[in-house]
Amino acid sequence: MSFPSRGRFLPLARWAGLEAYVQAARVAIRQAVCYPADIFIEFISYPFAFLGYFFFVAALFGSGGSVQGYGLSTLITYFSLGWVLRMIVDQRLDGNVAALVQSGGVVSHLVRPVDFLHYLFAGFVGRGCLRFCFYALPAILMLTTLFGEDISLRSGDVGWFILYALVAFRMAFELQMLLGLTAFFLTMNHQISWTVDMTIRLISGLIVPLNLFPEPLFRILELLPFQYLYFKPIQVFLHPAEIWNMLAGLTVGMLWTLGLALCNRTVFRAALRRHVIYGS
Amino acid sequence: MSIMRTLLLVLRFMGVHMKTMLLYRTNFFVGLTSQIIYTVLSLSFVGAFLAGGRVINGWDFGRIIFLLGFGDVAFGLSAIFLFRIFVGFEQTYIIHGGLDKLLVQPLCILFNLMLRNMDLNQGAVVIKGIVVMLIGAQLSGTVWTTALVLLVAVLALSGAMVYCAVYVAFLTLGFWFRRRNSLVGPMLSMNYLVQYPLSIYPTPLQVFLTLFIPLGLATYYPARAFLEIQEDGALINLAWWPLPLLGLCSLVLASVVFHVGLRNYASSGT
Repeated sequence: MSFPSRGRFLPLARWAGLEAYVQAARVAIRQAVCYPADIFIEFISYPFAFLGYFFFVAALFGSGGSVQGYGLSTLITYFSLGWVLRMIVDQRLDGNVAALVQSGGVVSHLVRPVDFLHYLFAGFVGRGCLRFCFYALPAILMLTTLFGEDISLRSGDVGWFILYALVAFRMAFELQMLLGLTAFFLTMNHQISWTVDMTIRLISGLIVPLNLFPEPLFRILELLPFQYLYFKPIQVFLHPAEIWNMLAGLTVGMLWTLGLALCNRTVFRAALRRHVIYGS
Repeated sequence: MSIMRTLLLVLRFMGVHMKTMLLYRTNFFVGLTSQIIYTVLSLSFVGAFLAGGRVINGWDFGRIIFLLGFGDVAFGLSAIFLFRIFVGFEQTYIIHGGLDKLLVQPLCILFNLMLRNMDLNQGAVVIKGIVVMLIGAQLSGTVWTTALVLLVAVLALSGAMVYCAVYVAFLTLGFWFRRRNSLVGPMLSMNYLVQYPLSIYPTPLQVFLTLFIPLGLATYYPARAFLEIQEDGALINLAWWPLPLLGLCSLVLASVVFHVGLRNYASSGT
């Protein structure tokens, strides 16, 4: 794999004071491509995890019918977009942060003259780009081959979807970061991470469109930020609303993300105050 | 090795693992909570689409719940004995050379590995599976008799044997292909596929899950035989009685392959 030479984009990054973070993104990509077998193994895990949903709804609604306005085509498009997004944002940053905390390796990051959280986000962006190329694009190709007739990408509003997806990307980082930071307090947080991830999959609309839940539950889930991970971005694609509504939704999503970022800052400061690293 | 000695060893090691488990009780309860959430996730999906009496190839909501529960029981039983080895075999026993120690001990290596790596926390999966299976059976109108209880126990054990065979076959690959990551991710993901009736999948995928990675034999075929469901589009209609035989055969075959792979083991010099 070839990378753009340093000279091409680093002057701009240096001018913006982002050189270290651009390098962090490059390092994250390089670290990931060091183990192509791992990329392959992780990639093939995804279709096994999500194809069941696709074939299930295809068998159920293949000969027509719908549930609350969701017909076969809408559901296949919904799941396609959801799982493609999932492949990009599901970077298990929580596990990486926990490993750094458990091994004490976090100290080598703390002594560097860069902001730890920004550094991790830069890596998240780098891996996100890599996952878009190596996971999302092949997945789109595979899904188009299997369910091409039922995926309707033309009618959607791609511009708004991308904006919402960017908010989802940052929110996914903040949520994974928050889970990772719990390792400072609990040390072993693997099982908790897994449990929370399962819950988030459910209440973010990845498994079932949220409006298929009973009305009272849907009303509660609408009050939470998790819908901005999958449900909202896919909804603006499938059912574009008035521009002001979409703008308002986007603003709310951004405010939730900002709130989570501030929460992470606070938790991180609290964690550092109580964290003790032994050894030299 | 006599049967008595085998049983004695299993009980001894179970006792040791039970003591460890009691030291870390929270792990068990956190694990149980995770499992319950995992099941809620699956039930939500199925419930959202099958609510209102919809049926998919002869499987209604209750029957699919039964399939989910049965799969958990079979998976959980196998996971107690072999899942921990499956997750860490390459790293612990091949790359770090942990197998050297076992090679000089007077016990079958596979059995030794199983005894040392029992994970009684996986009992939570079995308990949850039994509850879900009972709910599914209730919803699908099953009237329990002694014969049916025995039948479901035999089928769950045969399903567990198939799972064990798959783990052993996968971890045996480590003798030839050293990997940084184990294949636990794809394997667990494949479990999602067998939560649903195989007849919803295209024929090549059904063949794959029946013959090549036969997780269908561990969950779908036994559940279908138990519920006596006749389906259109199913690859084969298996009665219940060949399933325990298939489970046993697959386990024996996997064990043979493991011992062939063992000849290829090169010690790391520990």
